[in-house]
Amino acid sequence: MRDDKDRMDRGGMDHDATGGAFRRSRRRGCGYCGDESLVIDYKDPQALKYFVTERGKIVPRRISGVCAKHQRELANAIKRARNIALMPFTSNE
Amino acid sequence: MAEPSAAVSPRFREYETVYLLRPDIDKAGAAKVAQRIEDVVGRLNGKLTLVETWGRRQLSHAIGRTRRAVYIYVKYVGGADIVAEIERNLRMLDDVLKYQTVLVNPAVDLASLQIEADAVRFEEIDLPEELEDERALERALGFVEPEPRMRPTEDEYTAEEPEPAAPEAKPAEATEEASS
Repeated sequence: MRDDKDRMDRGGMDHDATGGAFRRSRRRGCGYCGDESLVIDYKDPQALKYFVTERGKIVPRRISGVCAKHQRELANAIKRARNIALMPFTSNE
Repeated sequence: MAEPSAAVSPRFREYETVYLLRPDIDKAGAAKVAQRIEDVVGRLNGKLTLVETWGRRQLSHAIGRTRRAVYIYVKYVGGADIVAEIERNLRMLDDVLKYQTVLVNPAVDLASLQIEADAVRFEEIDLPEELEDERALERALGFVEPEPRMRPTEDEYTAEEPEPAAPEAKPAEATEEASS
């Protein structure tokens, strides 16, 4: 029979001293909130490429750590860049 | 209550349009599109504020059958009807593959705008003719691996398909039908 400890081993969790589970990854703050000189611009696909996967999909903010406001701006910029073929809609390569 | 200043006219807004021209466009074709934009902006009492030619670029995805296009970036100030008129004109021109307009500034004071003459000049597009198929050249020079053969092997040709099994009579159903 499986005990509680076995169950906690699933899903990439570690255990602290008391047996509780916690995530390994460290939460990062929003880069755009930290540095106000950074501008989200659909004409700059090199800056936007960090927020799309290799397949061309927009990275969710739970992964990228961007705040909700800047995630909305990023999503708009990526969609605009896609529309004028500066960024791919999808990529199979 | 403070009155709105007469100098700032909220009617005028600043827009930017990026349009993509065919990669094999000649000087006259590009000039025709540029002239059309200048005419429309002038006719609707707008002002061009910035023109940039980004040159011929590789597209991230094909538009129609083209994989490359000449990018032109135009920034202008005008009323609410200017975008519809510019886009209507761009739509009519066959050399324009795609266009996109974005609102940059919702309230611009037209009188206080300072525009340099060089900034709003459309550059002459004189690009060298591109190769019909660049990958063909790369392939000929041996930079690209030949595509894998998609023909089926000989075994697949000779393999016999299994004959479909003859439908078997269902005695249970038959007896049920007979009884009803």
